[in-house]
Amino acid sequence: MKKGILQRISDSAVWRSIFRTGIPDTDLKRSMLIFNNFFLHIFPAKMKRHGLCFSFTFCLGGISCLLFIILTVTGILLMFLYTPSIERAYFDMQALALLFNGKILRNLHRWSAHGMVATVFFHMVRVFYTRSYRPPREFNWVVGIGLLVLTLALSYTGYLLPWDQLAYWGITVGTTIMTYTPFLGSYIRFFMLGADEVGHEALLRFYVLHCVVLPFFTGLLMAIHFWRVRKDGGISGPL
Amino acid sequence: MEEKKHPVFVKDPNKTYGLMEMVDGTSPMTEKRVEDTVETFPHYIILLTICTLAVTFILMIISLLFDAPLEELANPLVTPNPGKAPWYFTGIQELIHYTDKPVIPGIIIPICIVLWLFLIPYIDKKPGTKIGSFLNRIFIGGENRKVLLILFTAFIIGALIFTVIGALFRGENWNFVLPWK
Repeated sequence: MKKGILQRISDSAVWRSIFRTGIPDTDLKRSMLIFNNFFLHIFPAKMKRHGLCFSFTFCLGGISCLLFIILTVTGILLMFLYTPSIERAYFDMQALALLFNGKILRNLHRWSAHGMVATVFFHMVRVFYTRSYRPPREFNWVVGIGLLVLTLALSYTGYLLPWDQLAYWGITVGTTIMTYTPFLGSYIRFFMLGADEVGHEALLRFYVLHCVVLPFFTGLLMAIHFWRVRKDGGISGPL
Repeated sequence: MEEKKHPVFVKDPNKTYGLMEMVDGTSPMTEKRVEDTVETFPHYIILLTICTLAVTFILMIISLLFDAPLEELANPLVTPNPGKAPWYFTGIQELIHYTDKPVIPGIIIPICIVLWLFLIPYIDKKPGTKIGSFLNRIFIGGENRKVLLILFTAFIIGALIFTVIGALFRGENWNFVLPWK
């Protein structure tokens, strides 16, 4: 039988040096396809059938992760177009709104961020009602709550960056709530803002937190979270 | 008979064990009951791809239809009325409105809720001691965790209600308004 062009490519030495498994026509090759691939090897080669039921997980954790990836990609692209200074930030936003691509980029980033706050919260609700935090998964619940707090912090620090009235007064209201802390209130606010009022120092602090510090820790906790899901017996379902 | 069928497996006289049986199966697991598993590829990978594309597509549609808000340039001299926190904190703002001691809803309650969430898996477990079973009855409500369910559901519903009221139903001077007017 004559070989087709796709067959020839997938049999070639170059292709086989990158993707070692050929056409996955046996169960063994299907397993190898998963654990020989850098991106897929976080998944088990085989899954419990009920792990695939939509009503077991509502895909909330997966959607949260997807939104985080979308936010990372759009966020990095936005960093090329944004200057964290009170003289330029708002006008960079305005310039962005003039371009179709720029507008879509910012819209995607904003709506994904709101979506992620919601999906992470509802993921926690789902895990609570299915009582999935029971041993041996206790610690993964704790990591998950950490991720919820980090998601809120990420969203909150990003809120200031457009430097419009919404951003300025949103952060002013939020940081005023911090001053209600007994004894330490005004110190905490000063530590957050780097000054007595929301200004250039606060914008720079929030920018660095939003683009570097918080994403780093979120990524770290996500890695631990997914690793623990595997170690603690796979997604969804009693042990 | 057996050796004629599988001449590859010749029994070594020094071995104390031998090949007993050939079993058809799709899993290398032994000494465990058969689990109801499926291959991740293609079953899961297809679902993952569909879900990823669907969510991305929906987000694209939303981003085409609705623009992210951009108001006037930030101006410390012009205070908007009402000044609102981001929507996920308007619940706290709404609670602060009810009291003249803002430290309670603003600081103490959120910290308590986060700590309580962290502790849930460690208090909802089989009690080992008498004190443990006493605490379990108060904070969890036994094996069917009635108390915990009521507390958590109250937290969820409360958070949703106060957030929605704070975000949508509050206008000038934090007075009650209808969002469609």
